[in-house]
Amino acid sequence: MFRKDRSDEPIYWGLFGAGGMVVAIVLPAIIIATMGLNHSVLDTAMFANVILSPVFSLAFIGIMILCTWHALHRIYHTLHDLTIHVGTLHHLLIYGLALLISLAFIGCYLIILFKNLF
Amino acid sequence: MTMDLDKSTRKPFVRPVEASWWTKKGFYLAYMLREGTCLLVLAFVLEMLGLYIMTALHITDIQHMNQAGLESLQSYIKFLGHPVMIAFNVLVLIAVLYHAFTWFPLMPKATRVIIKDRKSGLYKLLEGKYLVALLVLAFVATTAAGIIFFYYPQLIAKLLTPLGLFEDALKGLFGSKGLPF
Repeated sequence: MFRKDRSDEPIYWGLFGAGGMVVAIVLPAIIIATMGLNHSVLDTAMFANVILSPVFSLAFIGIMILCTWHALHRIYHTLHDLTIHVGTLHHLLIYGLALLISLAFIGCYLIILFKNLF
Repeated sequence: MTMDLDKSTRKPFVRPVEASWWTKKGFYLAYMLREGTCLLVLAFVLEMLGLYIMTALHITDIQHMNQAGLESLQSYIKFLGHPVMIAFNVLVLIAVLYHAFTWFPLMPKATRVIIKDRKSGLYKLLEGKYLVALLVLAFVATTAAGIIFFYYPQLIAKLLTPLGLFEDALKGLFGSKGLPF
């Protein structure tokens, strides 16, 4: 099933590249918009309504998951620059954390989706 | 992970390197700061995950967010408005901007455009300085939208309500009147 002569690196580098593009183009807007959030009842309710829309939510988790993989892939490769030689343990820990954060976002999205349907 | 096709049985010599090598030269420091921006990106993702969990977990269904849920979401947004968090967000923003302006000039070197006709307009557009200009244009457009939402956060709800996406949801929150503006 797993071919030893094929590397899985392109997957991580692909996610890193896509994530880097999202961080550079979309994330500044999200950070600025976040700083403009108001905690009044009306604004909170409106924010909840926007974020609970299935389409918006999907775009949001897509952006966040790509940012996660970008950040953790960069950490993984910077460990080498900090004279930490990465092994299987580092690989599992770092990409495992990325997977965990991604699953948290996807889990929340599924909650929203199911509450939309039922 | 790595391919060990030609594995050597000899113990390789690893030249000792100090962990602080990158603090010794401005160029190295700039490189390490660029790599370091990802730590702030990760922190911001976790901040957003908190916001997302707060929103998702307190919804009974799309039409109804109960009072307790609304209050807990409100308290999280209030926490995001704390001066320390605002300062943190400004720091993240600076880091992300630094990332963006090292990322765009890098793209023409990192991408390979595969189009047969190298003289076609599309090829020229996706290569070199035109690619950088295209990316900067996309950056300016989205960031401008972000700034508009910063000053006028209701706009996004106003823009989307005519599409009928949230009409039912808003009626659930504000009664049959819908949005009170």
